[in-house]
Amino acid sequence: MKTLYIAKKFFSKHLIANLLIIIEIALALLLITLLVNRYDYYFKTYHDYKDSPIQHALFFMGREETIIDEEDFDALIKDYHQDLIEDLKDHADIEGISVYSYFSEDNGENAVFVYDDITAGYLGLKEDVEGEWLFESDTNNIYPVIVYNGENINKGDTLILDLELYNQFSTPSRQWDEIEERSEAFEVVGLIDSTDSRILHSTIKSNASLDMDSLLQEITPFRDQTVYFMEYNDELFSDYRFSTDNFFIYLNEQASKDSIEALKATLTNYGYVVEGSEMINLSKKRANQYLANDFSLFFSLAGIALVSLLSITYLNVKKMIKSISIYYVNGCSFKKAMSIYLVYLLLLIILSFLIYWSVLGFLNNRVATMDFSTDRDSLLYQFDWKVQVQSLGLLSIVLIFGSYLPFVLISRKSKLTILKER
Amino acid sequence: MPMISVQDINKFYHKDKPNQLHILKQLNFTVETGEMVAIMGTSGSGKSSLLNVLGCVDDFQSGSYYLDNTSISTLNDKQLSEIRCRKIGFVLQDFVLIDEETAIENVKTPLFFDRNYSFRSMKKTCMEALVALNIDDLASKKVNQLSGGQQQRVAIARAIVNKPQLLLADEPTGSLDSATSQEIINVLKDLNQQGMTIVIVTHDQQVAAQCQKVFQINDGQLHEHASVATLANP
Repeated sequence: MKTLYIAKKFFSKHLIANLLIIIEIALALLLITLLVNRYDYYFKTYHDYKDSPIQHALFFMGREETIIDEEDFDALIKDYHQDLIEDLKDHADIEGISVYSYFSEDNGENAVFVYDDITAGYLGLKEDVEGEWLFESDTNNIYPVIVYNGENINKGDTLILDLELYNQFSTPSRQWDEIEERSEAFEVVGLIDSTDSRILHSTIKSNASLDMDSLLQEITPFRDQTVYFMEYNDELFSDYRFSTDNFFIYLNEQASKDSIEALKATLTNYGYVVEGSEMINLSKKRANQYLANDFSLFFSLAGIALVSLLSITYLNVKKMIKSISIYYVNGCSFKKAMSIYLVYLLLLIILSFLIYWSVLGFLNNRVATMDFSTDRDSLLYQFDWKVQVQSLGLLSIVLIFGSYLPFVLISRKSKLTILKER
Repeated sequence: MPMISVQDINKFYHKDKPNQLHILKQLNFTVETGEMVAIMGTSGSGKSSLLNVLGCVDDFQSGSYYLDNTSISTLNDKQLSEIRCRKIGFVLQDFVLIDEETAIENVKTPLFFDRNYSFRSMKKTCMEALVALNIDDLASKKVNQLSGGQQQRVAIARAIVNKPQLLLADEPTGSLDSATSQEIINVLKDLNQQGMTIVIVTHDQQVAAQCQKVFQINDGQLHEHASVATLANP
């Protein structure tokens, strides 16, 4: 209590300087928060996928157009599917081939996404589901479904869905615009209200460098629709396994470099192929570039705020040293003096944090009413407790090195010498 | 049993550096309990450095220092701070008070670091010290509104509030006129008569002449004056 009392005295004695410091700290916290948000936003793809099966995968893009010349059509399509899948299915280093198919429901009113278990596992949807996860549910001979943005749909409901199944490219047996309508019963095992996860849905064809972001699509544009997530099964979807002819080939982690190169050489006969790890690294490089562009402004502002903050606290330290010297001569130990200053610093940080928190509360209310083009964009303005703690942690480190350490170093000087200096 | 026993103390500034200064050289010094002694010397002779060492505010490189039979060189920072809090009072030239605070807030300073005092008991003890110095009516006045003599009394009240055994005064009358100086010396003499051991660093011969012993420090070494009487009437 005595330590707190003395720290409070320090605060009251230099009220204006301390108020300036508090405002500077609050400002620095806000800037750091915006920086942290930007970092999270740009690096989200990299962080989401760097430890996913995509690190050990190949991304294959079939060299098909939705409409191609009739003459080459039969030979290419026929060989392409049958020969390629035959080559792949018994390969020792292949753990799975992805499914991500897109269909519509109820005359195009709603969207349907179908995934295999490996692909669905790393998309991040599982964390946002209220209820059971698709591949962990037991629905007793009825197909499970997870619903995003479903009005008046509850967990446990049985839905009859009118699926419109089609491929997005033509095959020998089916043209791309032929739609098979099928009504099936599904049990709702989980619900998603909002998510910043993105979904795989890509028809991209490229033999140039490709990053993960180019394969991912926001769910947000579907928020005027109900989106159904289903697990792949042969009974419903075998004719539509490759609704686009892009897919991931998930490899065994122990697959050798030679084996991977041989596989890539085989795939190149049928289309384009890119290693998943290259795609993830390219996402990281792009994120670094965006960050560098943004950060120059943020760093300048944060730098100005921090330099002025440290200048004011340094001047404050010099004022306080005389008082601390008087305390020292009158029985205050060095450790006690440090704890007094630390409590004083904590007082400043707590008061600043209250201001910062109030501003964040105001911003959160405004953000809640904003309409983002994607849920992911809202990451830029997310002021949850994790971001606050990160901002506070970073600022505390700066204050310790910029303010506390100088205090410790100056305090080590002979106390009576300080007192005699005028 | 002497209150202060210093043997062969050596103190350096900037030791082992090109600008090394050997300020106290094999210094020996003894003060008996209840004595009031003066240390005189020219500027830079080491008298303030000696006071810093006696007050446990600064360290020394070799030798021994016993304060009331306790070896100072074996103590850690926490133990030294307890000694400064409970056994030693410090009075400095220019008073060295916290200007923006009241007299009683200044006098409370040592009690903040003494676990034996709560907030409630601090006020009572401080008022007793102010009464002893006849400045209890100034308790709630800010010290920067007080005269030099009043401020020095507040500084002495702060130094004695915890009833220390040893009072160290560094040029206590340096900023005061002669009349006020004598008032302050009379206060110190009263405290000495109550049993407090007092060491005064001064360049003022009139002040030194009122002490029981006078030491001269020259070139880092201490010598006792043969006769105190000759100082007042050289």
